[in-house]
Amino acid sequence: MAGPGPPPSRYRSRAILVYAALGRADALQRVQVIMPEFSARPTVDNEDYLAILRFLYAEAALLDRRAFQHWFALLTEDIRYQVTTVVARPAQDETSRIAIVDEDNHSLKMRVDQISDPGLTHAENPPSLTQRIVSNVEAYYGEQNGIFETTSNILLYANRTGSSETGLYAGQRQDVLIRDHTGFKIAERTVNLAQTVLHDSTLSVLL
Amino acid sequence: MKSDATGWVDKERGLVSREAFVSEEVYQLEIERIFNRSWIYLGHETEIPAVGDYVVRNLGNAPVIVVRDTPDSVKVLLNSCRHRGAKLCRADAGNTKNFVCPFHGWAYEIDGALRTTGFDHHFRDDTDFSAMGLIPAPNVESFHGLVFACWDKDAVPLRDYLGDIGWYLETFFKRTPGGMEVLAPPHRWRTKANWKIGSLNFIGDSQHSPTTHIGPSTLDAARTIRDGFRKHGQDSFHVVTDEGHGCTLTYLAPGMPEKNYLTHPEALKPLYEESLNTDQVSMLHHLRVCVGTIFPNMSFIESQAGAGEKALIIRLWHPVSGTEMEVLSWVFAEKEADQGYKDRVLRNGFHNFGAAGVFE
Ligand code: FES
Repeated sequence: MAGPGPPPSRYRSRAILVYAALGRADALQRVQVIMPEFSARPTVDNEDYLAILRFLYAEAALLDRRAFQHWFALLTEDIRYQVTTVVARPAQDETSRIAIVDEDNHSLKMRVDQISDPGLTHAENPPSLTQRIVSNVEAYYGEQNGIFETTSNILLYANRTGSSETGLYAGQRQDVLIRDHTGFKIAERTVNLAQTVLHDSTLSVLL
Repeated sequence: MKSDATGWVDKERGLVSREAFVSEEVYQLEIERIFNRSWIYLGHETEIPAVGDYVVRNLGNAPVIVVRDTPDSVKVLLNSCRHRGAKLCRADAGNTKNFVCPFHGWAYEIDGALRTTGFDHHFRDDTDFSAMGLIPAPNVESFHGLVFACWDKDAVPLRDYLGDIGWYLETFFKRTPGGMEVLAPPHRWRTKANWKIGSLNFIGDSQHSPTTHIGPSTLDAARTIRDGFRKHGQDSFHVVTDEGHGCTLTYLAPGMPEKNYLTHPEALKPLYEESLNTDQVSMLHHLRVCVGTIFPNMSFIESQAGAGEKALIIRLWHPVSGTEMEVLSWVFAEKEADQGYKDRVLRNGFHNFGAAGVFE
């Protein structure tokens, strides 16, 4: 099924990590999050809101049920998927974030293929039991018809079966969704975790 | 020591008791006898390029501030106020003109000297304020940008401590006139494992690769990893130095001259030849992967995995307790490289070996 094609580049620059120029003085602040001005955008009507909510819940359920390939089919071909953590800096300094996951379609496919087959993953064999809660969903119309910007909170509990370890991840997701006649697709996802140090051997699940 | 550790290490037969990898008493002894006496890697100079830039790290089990106090020097200061011991600096990184204690406001210069208590006139007349600065690590040295410190004031110079492994570190970290730079702040994660597991894994456990990393090698369409295990594996060398450091070098199989230097950019190759001696150039030329450990807890790897760029990575295995460590991981590229290359190295390096790396 032919998709709607990649969104115009001006959308891609929103709500994603922006790489600051790597000057001498700001090597540590190189990756910073530019928060989009969501409040300036019109919120979606109730019908669209409900449709987006249903999509996000269904998408979350696919991940918890380990239907990773089905989930992957919900991404656009030019998906940018990122997970970031924080470098704690003094209040007067600019907050800086580090991308701990920064994938395009190709590298994300590799990750999805890996966790789909327990024989190919040390970290996810046996597979983690995950239970995620997606809430506080806000949705806005993008600058073009059929494009939506959403923010949602995620709390993910990941139980590494076969060990006593559990991962707990809390963050805000900023998504760009595209709607065509087949439904919604995710064009961008940035998960900004409220963490500086991960308390998990490795982040091996999808958020 | 409460437990009887006699017989935990059998040098003759090459056996070590698993107790050594969980015991809290062993951990305490390691802090005292290894981490408080050895040169410990703290970070890279390019993380703190400007005067006043600092990062907070650990020297043994002591939190320290690593700060650039002048354009040409780095100080390592115990992150604890000389008044009542409050934690002075609670951020991970920043830039400052001075350190002010959040408890009662004692202020210190960035070189650690006490500037004022705020109540200096209330102190006895014979108070020596100059002796009330932050406690500095007595030894701080940098080797091609790699900053090490040591609590032991009688420590041998860093270059002597590194010994022959310096030759290899030089090949990786000083192969262009500008040297290497850190591409982003380190990934950090906690894992319930003894720090020695990480150090040992990088110094002499190439055998785990085909099994533990079966995912990336199976899914890698470019087959570089499988070829690495099968073909190039025949040209591997294990290096151990007298000082307890070591590395494994895996060369490209003979007959693959077209792959020499792998993904290193053309523009950098003349710079390698300018900065390194012929033996070092020859090593880099034929190298597929090098993985090693500087005793006790700094590891490094430069490898190509999949179709992406070769990435140079440092791993630090910070011992939190006998059964837990915090891992820090940095990605490096040559200062002279173009930004596009650096971005690809960063993405590829962390995709494979970061906090969410597919090799984990
Ligand atoms: S403890 Fe720092 S000023 Fe009192």
